[in-house]
Amino acid sequence: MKDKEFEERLHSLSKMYVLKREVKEKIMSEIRKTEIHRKTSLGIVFAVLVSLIVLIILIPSPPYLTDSSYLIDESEFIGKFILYLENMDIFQWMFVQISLYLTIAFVGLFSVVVINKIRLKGGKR
Amino acid sequence: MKYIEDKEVIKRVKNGDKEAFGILVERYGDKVFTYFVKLIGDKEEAEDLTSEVFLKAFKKIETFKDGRDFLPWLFRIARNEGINHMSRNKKLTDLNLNISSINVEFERDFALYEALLSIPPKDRDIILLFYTENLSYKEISEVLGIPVNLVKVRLHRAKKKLKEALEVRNEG
Repeated sequence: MKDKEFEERLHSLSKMYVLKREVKEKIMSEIRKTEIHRKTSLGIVFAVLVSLIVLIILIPSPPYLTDSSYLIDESEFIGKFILYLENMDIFQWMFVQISLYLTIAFVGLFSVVVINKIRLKGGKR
Repeated sequence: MKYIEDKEVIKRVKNGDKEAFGILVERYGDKVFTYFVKLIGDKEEAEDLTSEVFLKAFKKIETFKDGRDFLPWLFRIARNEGINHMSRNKKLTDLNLNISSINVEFERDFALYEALLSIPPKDRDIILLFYTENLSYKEISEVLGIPVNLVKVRLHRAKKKLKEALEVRNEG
């Protein structure tokens, strides 16, 4: 069989079937009794918030509780940064943590979006 | 009657207008039903699966992202439903499907349809999305969750298998 003939035969598959009116009405009567799921997104937000709070509470070791000054050279950038962290109060430390988590979350989200865009890239036939 | 675009209908459904969903059932009911009839070869089961798909779509409508096309999203649900159905009814995935058990009206080209039912569901599926539902490569890539280039490769392979199956039947 030639490719052209086969391609023409394939188009015969376009015959459509009609869904009975009573089936459509049955679908709508079920839908009238059904509620839309709204819990998923709220659940995710709630879970993220709870895990964030738990993480902040469970990491009670800000660098200012440690003394690493004998290990570092204060003239270097890293040394200055560690000293800055050591002199933070608890609220500043929490702010640093939250910023860190949010940055990780945004980078993760951005990567997923970019990967998806690349995967689905392509033209229409 | 004035035509209302899908995105407008979905907006209304999301705002709590359940009756608006009826527009989508009217608009795409036949397409989803045809897909299932041709995929599994049984009209009654196809009706049940079509109902399931629309109910799932309604329940998940909150997850539908604005600005995207509704049809590929709907067919993604339909395809998953079809796969689950076929894994529950293993006989339908059997290559030696008994054609006498097929409960559908005669297709225009029944030999082709018979050959289509004899190829693996994964190949049958992509041929139906392209030739019956007239989805573009991009839309099929959204339905299957694979890149556009892979859609082209898989469609080419599926057509090759179908052609071979048809030739075997013609020779026999």
